[in-house]
Amino acid sequence: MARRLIVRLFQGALTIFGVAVLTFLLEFIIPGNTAHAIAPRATAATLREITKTLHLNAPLWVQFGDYMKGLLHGNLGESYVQREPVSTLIGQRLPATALLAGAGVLVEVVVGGTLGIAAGLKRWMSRGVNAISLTFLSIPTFVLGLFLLLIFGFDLNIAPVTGGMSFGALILPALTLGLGGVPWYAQLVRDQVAESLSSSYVRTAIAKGLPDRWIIVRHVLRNAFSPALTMVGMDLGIFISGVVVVETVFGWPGLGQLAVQSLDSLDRPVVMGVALVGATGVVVMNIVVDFLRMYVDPRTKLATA
Amino acid sequence: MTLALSVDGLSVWYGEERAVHSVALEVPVGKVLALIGETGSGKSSVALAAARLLPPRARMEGRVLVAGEEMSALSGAQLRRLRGEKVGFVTQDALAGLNPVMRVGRQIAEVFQFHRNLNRRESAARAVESIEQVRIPEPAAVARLYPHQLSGGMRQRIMIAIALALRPPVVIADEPTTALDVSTQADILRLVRELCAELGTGILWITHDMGVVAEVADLVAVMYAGRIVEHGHAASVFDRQQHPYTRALLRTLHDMRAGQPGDPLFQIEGQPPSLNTVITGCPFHPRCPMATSLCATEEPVSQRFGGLEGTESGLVACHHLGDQAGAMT
Repeated sequence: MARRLIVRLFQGALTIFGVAVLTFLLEFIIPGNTAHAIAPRATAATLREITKTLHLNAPLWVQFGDYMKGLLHGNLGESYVQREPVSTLIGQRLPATALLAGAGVLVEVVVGGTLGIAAGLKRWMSRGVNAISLTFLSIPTFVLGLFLLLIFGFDLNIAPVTGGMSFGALILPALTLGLGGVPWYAQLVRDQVAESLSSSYVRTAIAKGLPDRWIIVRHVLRNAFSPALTMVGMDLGIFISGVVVVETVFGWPGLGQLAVQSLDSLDRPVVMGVALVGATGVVVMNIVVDFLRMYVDPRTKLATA
Repeated sequence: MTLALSVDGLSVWYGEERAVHSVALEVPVGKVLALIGETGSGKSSVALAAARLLPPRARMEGRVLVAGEEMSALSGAQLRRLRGEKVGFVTQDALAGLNPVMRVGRQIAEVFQFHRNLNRRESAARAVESIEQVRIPEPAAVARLYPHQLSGGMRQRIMIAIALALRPPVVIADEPTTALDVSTQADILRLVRELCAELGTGILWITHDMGVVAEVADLVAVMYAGRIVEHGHAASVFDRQQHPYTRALLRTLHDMRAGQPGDPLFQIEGQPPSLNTVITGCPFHPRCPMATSLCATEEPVSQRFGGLEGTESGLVACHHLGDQAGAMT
């Protein structure tokens, strides 16, 4: 088990390094003069000064080396635009995004899982669940978000529309984020439940004379939710790296907004920082879920890397 | 002769297709009845119907008596109470038959929890006893393992322990040794024989393996196209082979055991009829070397031979009973 953890951590570090390299390269492909982006109305002399202090003319690999050196010391650099350490900026935004990600996943699991169980257990419900799934699947996130805002925010007036962070303000973005993922969970759980119901071990459980409810809870659901756990890990990781559309629609002060703003202003250290936080989120969540799954489904212990 | 299990007029349909045609079987207390047939002969449907475990889309008709109690008419809570208590069930593949995410001890303990109203600790202790009963060393340690951590033979022993947990009068086993290698298979067969004699359990053993039948069975019923064509004591079925189909089955076994490498194996010509074939006359007549025009038009009824009770007796559904001695050998 310890060996598995070490292997996974090593793989994770490699992944994050890969993301760092790719993001760094991508930033240089984007057209635009960085110095100019930092100080749009500066004189030519000032621009030269900026270019010099930030080593913007140094070869790409030197700049990357400098960045990685800082990174190893835990230094993500300083924002070109806001003149503040990137870690501070991210630190301000991360809690909001983490909260939204957690709430979104909760919606996915609760709504998707419930629909999936219902459809798996009762064949006649399957159609309705399919229709719901298809609906959420075909509505783009921003449309869903605006719909919810219009209905619950403006018409019914039960949810705040002004943005900012509060429990009430969390509901609509979390729903928007979560409902988009509901179809995947509903389908997965439904298929797993149906498969489990027709399995040989459930027949054994019936032959034992156990009550239906016990069979469903102890035998069917535990088997059905194990694959969904992997999906939860992936979603949490991806959401933490910033949910741009949802944060923009609802004015939620999270990492997604930060990423968009800094991309706009070519604020390279911040873009790098957000990308790295996202990559770390995905890697860490995957490792956590991997180990959680070993407790839910002991067979996965065998698949040691 | 007290009967552990008695099945009468049992028919099973899957939609419009009829898999089992008025089957009658009797398993005496403490005996093993081997129900043998090819894939698709309906033997597993008989097993599932007798255990009342048919899938919802299937429909059954007929009577199933377990230790004198009618099982076929029950449903809901009444049926649930008798499951495990009166009938134990052993599946073909124990790896699939056991819940992969639950410790095996727990899977046995559940049975005691519900049928004996024991708490978790007491039922766990009874589960360990059950594991010990199927001759697994260190039962307490094994109880804490998951199915995938056990060998195939051990898993099948756990399945048997579940089936026997409440000492039911009947155990129905659906090809329990098919997935095992030959030496493990022999161990399981010996274990089942011993436990069956020890506890007085009647066993309905479904198989397609004549070798297994020879080792485990007191009685044999041969199924073909959803019908029982021969039913009798193992010794008489093996010695006298009244039905041409039984004889052909046994000849394949004989060829396999006694033949030289390279010798062609004996095969029964043709294919068994599929479920939607309309059968007139004897279901075996298209493949039977002895078929006459009578066989093609009229379905034979079961006839008794060799007296009523002795080990030389049995039932055979063939028009040519008596006039075919040695015809195929």
